[in-house]
Amino acid sequence: MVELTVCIGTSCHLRGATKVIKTFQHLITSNKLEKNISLKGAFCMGQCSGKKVRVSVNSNVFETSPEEAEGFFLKEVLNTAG
Amino acid sequence: MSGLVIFFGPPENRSDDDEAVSSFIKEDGGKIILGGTTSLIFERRLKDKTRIDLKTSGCGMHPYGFLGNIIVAEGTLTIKKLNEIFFSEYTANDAVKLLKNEIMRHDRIKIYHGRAFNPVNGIDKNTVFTEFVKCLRESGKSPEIVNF
Repeated sequence: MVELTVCIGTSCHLRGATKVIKTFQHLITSNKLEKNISLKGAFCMGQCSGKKVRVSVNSNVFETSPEEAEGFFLKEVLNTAG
Repeated sequence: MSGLVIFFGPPENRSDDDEAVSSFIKEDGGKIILGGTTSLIFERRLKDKTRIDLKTSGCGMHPYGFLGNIIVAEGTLTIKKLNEIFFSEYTANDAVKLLKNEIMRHDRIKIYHGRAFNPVNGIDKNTVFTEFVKCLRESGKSPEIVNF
């Protein structure tokens, strides 16, 4: 099970975190990955200084944007989920 | 009288974190933690994780979760939105609505006001807080404020 966490703290919220979550939710459902990927939220990952939304895949921290979320999911999340 | 205790924002000095958290935890009544950094301080102290209900994280919504039985939400944007809708109807089933309902159903409001702010997001947290207190007073509440 891959743990996919999106930061929804103030800075990430302003950068489009809720749109990133919506994209991930759609991709998980449409690819029938509910049993492989656990999507969670966090109010702070302690890394507000980036320009995009902080996302972690298991314990590895990345950043993405609403526009890049689908590509990020295909590259980083699906690869990890196998 | 029923009481609601709100912890909004991290203490200005990190050396005050433990005292502020301990004091807040000992309070009677309903409890709400507002702010991402603030929630991390409590998570470390309580050795627990906030569980966020992603159904409350739709576009334009303000999500919330729980740390044990304490309500947790993002801080400044949630309060900013609450100020905007304080005296109007609000239908989204999110942290703003939950916070408003909790405030309205309690007689006594106490706020732990942490005066640290995050320079990254550029939001004037002090103005948001001042407006929040004004809304509370205009609605007939007499909030007790403890500054850290």
